[in-house]
Amino acid sequence: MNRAMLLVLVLSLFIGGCTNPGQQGQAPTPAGEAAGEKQQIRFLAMEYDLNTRPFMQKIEEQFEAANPDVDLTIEVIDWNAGFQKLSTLISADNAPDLANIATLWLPELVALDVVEPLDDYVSDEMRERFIPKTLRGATYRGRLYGLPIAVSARALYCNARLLDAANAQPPADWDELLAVAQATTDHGAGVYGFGMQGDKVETDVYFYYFLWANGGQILNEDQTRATFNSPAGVEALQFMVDLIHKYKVTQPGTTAYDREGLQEMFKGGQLAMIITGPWFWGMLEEDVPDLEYQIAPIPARREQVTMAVTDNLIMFNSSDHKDAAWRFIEFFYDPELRLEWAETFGMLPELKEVAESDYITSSEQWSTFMSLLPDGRFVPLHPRWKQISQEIIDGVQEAQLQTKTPQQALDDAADRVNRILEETARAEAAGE
Amino acid sequence: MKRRDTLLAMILLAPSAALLIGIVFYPILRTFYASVCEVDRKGIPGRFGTLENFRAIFGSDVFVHDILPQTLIWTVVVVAGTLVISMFVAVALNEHLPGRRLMRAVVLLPWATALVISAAIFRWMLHPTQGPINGLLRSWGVDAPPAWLATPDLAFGSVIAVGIWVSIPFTATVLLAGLQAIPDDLYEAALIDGANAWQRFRMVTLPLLRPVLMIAVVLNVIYVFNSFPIIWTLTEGGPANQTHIIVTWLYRTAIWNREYGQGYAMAVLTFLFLMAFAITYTLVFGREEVERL
Repeated sequence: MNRAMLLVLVLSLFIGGCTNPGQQGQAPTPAGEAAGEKQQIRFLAMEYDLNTRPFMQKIEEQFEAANPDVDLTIEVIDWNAGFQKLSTLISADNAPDLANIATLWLPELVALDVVEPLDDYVSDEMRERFIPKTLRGATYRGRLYGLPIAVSARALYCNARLLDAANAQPPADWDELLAVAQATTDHGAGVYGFGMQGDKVETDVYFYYFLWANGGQILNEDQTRATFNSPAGVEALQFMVDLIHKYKVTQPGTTAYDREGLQEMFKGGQLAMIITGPWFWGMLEEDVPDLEYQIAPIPARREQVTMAVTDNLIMFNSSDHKDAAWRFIEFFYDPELRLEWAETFGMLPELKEVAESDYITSSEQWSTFMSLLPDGRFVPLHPRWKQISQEIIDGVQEAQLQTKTPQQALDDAADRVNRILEETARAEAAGE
Repeated sequence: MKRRDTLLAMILLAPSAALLIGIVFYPILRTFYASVCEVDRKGIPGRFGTLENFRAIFGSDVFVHDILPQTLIWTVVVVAGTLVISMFVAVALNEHLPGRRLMRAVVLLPWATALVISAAIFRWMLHPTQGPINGLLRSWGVDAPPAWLATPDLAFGSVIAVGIWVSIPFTATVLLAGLQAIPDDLYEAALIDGANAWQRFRMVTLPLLRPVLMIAVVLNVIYVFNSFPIIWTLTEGGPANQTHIIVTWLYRTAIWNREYGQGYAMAVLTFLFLMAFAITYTLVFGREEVERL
């Protein structure tokens, strides 16, 4: 008797331990459950910062109050775990109805055939409300797969005091960049003119700023060949390497510095100029309120450029309640809500109405970034972009370390990237 | 009665056995199986019976010319360095010195820290401008201390040094346990025979420590060969792939690039290599051990 009870207890513990407690209460019940017949929609929201959870909770309550027939669940999840989580949900046939994703993930998700194209949902009138550039990020192979939820661009941050001391203005082109960097560099004091990124994610982007400015492209139009090793690209990388090794106007040991490393040095007054995004002025004002800074366009050569980046709100084609999900999207692009979003997260607005609001136009920082957006370039949308960008990072690092010449480093990287492009084209040809 | 006990034992063991099969044996078998399949970009094995994954790994210049030699150097240097230093530490801790209990605790303490945290602390310590190591060097009059993780040679040296540092607590503790098992009378006898300290170490300590040393070598080789967090946290295998070892390269290949097939194949290679190493090592040194007795 006792033994039997023990057995039952042990077994029940074991079985209980096997079910996933994280899913309790969140697991979607199939549509059309008995109570009230509410339509259930789930939004997997990637976490921008600590404000994300309360913000999302508020949206959830507001939306449900306005749409009593819909039961909305917003699940906030860390960015780093986001793609893994989405992949898992998709392969378990349990995709959410909505998610905000990095644009970089889009081609891969489209290849899995899980994203609902929004062309038929977005009316001309609604499309008209968006700054056209911001819709480009989610336009892939001729279809609109999402709406921009977080827009950003990159600009040159200058330490105003260091530039003043050198009697310099923010540089407009490469020659001026070199001159200002030389004038502000003081090796004895540990102050360097230009912060050069050489480590981790977006190291390749530092190269793109110069490649694009020099009239180059990363890949050709139909994504069959790498073009970053063109003369424009080699010249761009050579210029970067010269800044490091010939003119010695960057921090030494560039390959040890990721974006955060550069930002920290800038905050410490050790760098006169770095290129980074709109989130940085908020950090400056909070961490080093005494530091005077200016925001300027990225130095040009043949062209004036910046990188534009968007995250996108997408709908999954497996959704049982696409109408309700679409109603949420319409609700989400309310100008007031989007302005609050921009204020809360330091993201550039995507709606014209928000961009024209006093809050944005009266702020020098906001308006500088907004004025750069039209020059924004997107990195190519390719299912294996992460791998391609990593190969380019390897090449940029080899050139920065001078283990290869810029020409050699880019040619080798182009070979590796071309192989990836060929494989992708072959796989797609076989799949269709 | 007896049969019922056996039955109960089996029932009680069943969950653990199921768990073990489910989370250890099944994944191993599946990895072996998937490594010879065509694998799609979701990681799901398709058509069976291809060596394409292995061919792709060995077709990569980086893997053959950088990753393999680096893995070898990393494993040999870290294990050798760890053993030598741990031996000194263990012998010192075995002496009847004041405060040795405290010292033993101090040596063991870093073991309780997660590797990622140790590595993150070292990443900060090695920081070119804000790190305390360069701060110290500057205060000693070194004008331009290096950016440790910026150049391939220094970065590889740094990850190896950190690798040794984190391996010492475990190894020193194992060796210390071995030392304590050696009876004091043997040393007394050696002393009476006129053996000096080095002779006592060579003729008494080393031979008697042999079984423990063997375990320390095998376990360290397995841990170090497979060690992911130190290199990943410090350098992510950079700059320019010059600090990657197989396991970090596997992560980049399988998880970043979603080349799951090649990831499976690398996992299989690692498994086979370590298995072969453990068997050979045990056969060679284990047999001597048996013969000596």
